[in-house]
Amino acid sequence: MKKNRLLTMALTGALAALAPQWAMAGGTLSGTAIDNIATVNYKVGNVSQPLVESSPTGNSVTGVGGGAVTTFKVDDKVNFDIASNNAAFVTTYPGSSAVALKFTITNTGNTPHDFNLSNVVGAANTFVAGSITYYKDDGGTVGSFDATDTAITFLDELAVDTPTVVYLVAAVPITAANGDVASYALKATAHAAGAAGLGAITTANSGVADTAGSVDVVFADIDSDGAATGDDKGVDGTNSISSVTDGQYNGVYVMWAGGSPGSGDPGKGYQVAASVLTVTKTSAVYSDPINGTTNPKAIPGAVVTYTITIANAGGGEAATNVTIVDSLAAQSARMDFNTQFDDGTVAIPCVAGEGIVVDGICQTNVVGSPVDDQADFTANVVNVAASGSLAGGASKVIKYQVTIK
Amino acid sequence: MTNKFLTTLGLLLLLALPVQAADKGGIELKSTAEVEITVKNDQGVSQVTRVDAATAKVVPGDTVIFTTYYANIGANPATDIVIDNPLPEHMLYLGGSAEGMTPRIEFSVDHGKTFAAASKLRIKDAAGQERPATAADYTHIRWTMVGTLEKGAKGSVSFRAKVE
Repeated sequence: MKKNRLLTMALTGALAALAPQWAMAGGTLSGTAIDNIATVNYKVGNVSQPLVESSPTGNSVTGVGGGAVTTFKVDDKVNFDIASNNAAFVTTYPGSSAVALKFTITNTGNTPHDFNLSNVVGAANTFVAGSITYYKDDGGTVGSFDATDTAITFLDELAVDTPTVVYLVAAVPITAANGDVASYALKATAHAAGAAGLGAITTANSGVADTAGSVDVVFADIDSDGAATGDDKGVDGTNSISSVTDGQYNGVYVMWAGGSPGSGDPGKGYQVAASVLTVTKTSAVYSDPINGTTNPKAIPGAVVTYTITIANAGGGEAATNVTIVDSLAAQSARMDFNTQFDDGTVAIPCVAGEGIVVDGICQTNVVGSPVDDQADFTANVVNVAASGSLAGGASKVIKYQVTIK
Repeated sequence: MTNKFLTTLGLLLLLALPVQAADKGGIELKSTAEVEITVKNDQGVSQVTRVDAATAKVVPGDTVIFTTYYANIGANPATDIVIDNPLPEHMLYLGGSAEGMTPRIEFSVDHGKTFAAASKLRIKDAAGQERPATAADYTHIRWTMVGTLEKGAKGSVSFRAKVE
């Protein structure tokens, strides 16, 4: 008995030299062979007999190595997640050339795969973003879209449990209006890994028997509930891709920017912030040589005040670098530009050479590159560079005067 | 020795093999790995059936049933039968799933060095702290038969484990 036990211990110790490895979240790698062998020790006539190992078909050959392992291979459990890293709309501007929506793709299955990238366009979009490209977050600052990130069309050889940031980058047309929105979903489709370049698309051998000794494909979450529980493992291969529902169907996962898995929410993509500028130009006769400033008429010698108002509507994005150009050159035969503004309302009367009033401040002629509300009115061309930014709801008022010839 | 000789001889005669390179024991051991799948029969009723794991789709999280069939094919009764099955790599034993040869089912958490009943197993964690072992700690399963396996008698032992 004692001897027998010792023998058994020695044997089992040898067989168990294979210490259990740390399991990954996605589980044992596909293609791993699971080998099992049992051993019997016994006595006949109270005499210990040589041990016998098992085999798949039945073995009675004695001794270590007399049997054979019963084996099967772990199949490919295709499972992956895409998370949106945009909690809210990404603010963008008309004409922006490269605006990024951030996603993280994680291979949660047990096999490396390539993932082909594409997108789904939101049904309620009010503008169409152009030049959609995808970038892998592999350059510059980790976690932010940089010029040195690599443009890709697919993720090559995405290992298990390695969250990888992918940017969907698009351009906003210059015609986009304030408040316009466009939602986009990142769509990833599982392809075979194993070589550089995009491998063949991964399809579940649904309803097909396992090929013994080879790695078959099982889609772990085809009912797209985010959990592997209760899935029918591809027996029903009829699920089609929905453009409005987050989730994974037959190796495809669709995730809306700003969405959450399974929400069916078109989510939050780009939101355009634009300035809403209106320009108004009015004229009023200030004085004439006969009536003075009382009920003046537009007769030769009369002084006419032009008022240009640039207004950014409430809610409009602040506008910067606003310049206003108004050319009187075509009218120079009929009017002269007044180089000293006077309409009786400016608190401190403009002195000679101050021909333009910007927001109530008299301005001299700054030839060349006016800045900060300065004006250049050389050769009957009015050119004003507004200072700072013109916020939503704010306006800029420019006044100048001409004398009718 | 005599016994063994007789057994071997009897076996050789029974099988009528002209040349027998390897020694044959008195017990035959056959091991299977199976998974349970649900299929619908002709009447549309779901039935659970077992299929060979090698011909089924098996992915992490799936449960595999390992069964060892034993048969006394020798000429004499066998006693003190002990069947050992190291838990295959990447497999986690499912608590309470070992069947057959009850009540003598024991487990090892030290790669087969020592065996004890499930309730008596203890294990030291990384910090050296001792705690009761759980099913996930098992490395080996041992069935010990009480009594005699008569000539021609057969039986089976089994356990379930989950793919990591």
